[in-house]
Amino acid sequence: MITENEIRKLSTLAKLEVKEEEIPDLLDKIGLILEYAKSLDGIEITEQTPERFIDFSQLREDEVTPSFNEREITSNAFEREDGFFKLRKRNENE
Amino acid sequence: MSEILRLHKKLKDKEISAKELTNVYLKALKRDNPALNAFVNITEKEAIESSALLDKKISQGMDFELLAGVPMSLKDNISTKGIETTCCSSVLKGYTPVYDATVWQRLKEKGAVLLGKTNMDEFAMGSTCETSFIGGCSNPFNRDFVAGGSSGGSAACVSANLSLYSIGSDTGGSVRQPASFCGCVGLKPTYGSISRYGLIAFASSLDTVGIMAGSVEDTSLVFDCVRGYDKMDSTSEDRKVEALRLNGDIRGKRIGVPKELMDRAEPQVREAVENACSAFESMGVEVELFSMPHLISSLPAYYIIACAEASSNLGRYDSVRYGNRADDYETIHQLMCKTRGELFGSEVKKRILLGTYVLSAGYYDKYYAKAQNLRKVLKGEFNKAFQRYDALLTPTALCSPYKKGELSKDKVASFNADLCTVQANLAGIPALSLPCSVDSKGLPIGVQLMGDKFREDVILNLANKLEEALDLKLNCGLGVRI
Repeated sequence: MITENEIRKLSTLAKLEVKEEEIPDLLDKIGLILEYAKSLDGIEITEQTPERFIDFSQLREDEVTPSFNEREITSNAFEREDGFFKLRKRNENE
Repeated sequence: MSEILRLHKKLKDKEISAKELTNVYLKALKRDNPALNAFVNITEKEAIESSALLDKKISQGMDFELLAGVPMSLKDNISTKGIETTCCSSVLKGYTPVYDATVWQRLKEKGAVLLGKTNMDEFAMGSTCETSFIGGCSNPFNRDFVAGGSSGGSAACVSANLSLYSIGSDTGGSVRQPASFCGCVGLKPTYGSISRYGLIAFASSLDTVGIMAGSVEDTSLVFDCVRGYDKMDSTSEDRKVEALRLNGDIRGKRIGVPKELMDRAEPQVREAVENACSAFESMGVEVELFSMPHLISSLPAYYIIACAEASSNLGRYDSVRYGNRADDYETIHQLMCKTRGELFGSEVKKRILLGTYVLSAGYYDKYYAKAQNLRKVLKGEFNKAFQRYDALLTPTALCSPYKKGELSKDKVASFNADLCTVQANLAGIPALSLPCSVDSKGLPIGVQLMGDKFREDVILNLANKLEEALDLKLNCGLGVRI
């Protein structure tokens, strides 16, 4: 079953800060779903079960088509400059 | 009679102008919305502009589309060019899309009048609408109860006569369950039948755009206008679409009722659904109880697949290209961690972490691969069921609407909230919720019909006949009557 340390590790993997006081509730709720997931053990796939949901055998040609311009693309950025997304200068130690 | 057809006739006969109609709705909305919290954003300017445009057309004697001038709303995860779209999350507060979702583009081209964007659970993750960053949406029949979720605002405003119809999204029941709780019709169509382009993604293999309206006929009219192939959505199906007709004879049709869900329903829900079965039988439909062994275990499979896909889809909120940003940061990694940690709500965080867990090395086979196996088995069971039955019938929810705050305290009930609805998303089949009764508190109860892929015509026909037979007159006393 999922542990406190695994939650901390997942938080780094998902780039999602989790405060220490949030961990017990997360453990509780995620643990419950994983507990229910035990019912998935031992399910066998029989021959008649379909393998594919959508048929991807017919793919279109890759064509260049008009898209959004620079102004549109950056219009929702928190910070932007000269048509670029802007971030604070990166820390040298990172 | 269909409300859309009735209003269309009034506009055509010049009994009312489009602008007058819009103003009546806007006035009612300003009066009733504060009590419901169904709208996150009211688009008054846009609504008046589009209705004025239609009036000009009418004055010039030009013909106009059926949905032209009809006041409607969109869930706040459907992209609207130039109109703020937040998914009811602090992360996207202030985000204004530079393009329209295809579903909105199609409606706009037909002259639809957008009254506003509706309240929802944050990123459509929830069953009560209570995870919204503006707070939950009340049930129009009793403000102490939730409207359901995640498309709670859409269902509430349709049911409260504040919008003729609303476009929502359904990933595991988010159109059908609030429709059931609020007493309106909710259609989740076949995966691939309505374009998802511009629908902000939660779980891409499960997400569908859905429709909520006051009657089966209105639902069907809107569905006819928005469905069909879209090259902007690679999962949209390119197939011949025939106009829907709701006059089909249902005598001799066969309906299967999975006993696994009936056995778990609250007594008053079970009784309401059994009454719906009896109504079908009296119309010459054969109704039979049968078993689908993997219906119940599809719930954990749904959570695993939905959260896995959500953890990937929500990776895009890096605070660089769009969205809000945490104040203090030293490194880019810290910026992303803090922004996402501070601005995502607890339900979203839980689902991202669970999704990351089931996709991580060592757990992929244990959880994700098994959930995908279950999905294949479930599809096989549905295929088998539709060889025997024209449609399946279940409760839409096992219980009647929850009291506000109740579900968040009960983790097992919270987990089971979507038990009747997730299967249609896993299998990609159409499903519809229709009001069939009210509970002891006067709150609506819904019945669900599921059909085979692209057989919306079958379930809409059956639902239309059931609606006529039950002749429920639900009225919460709110909104507009014209």
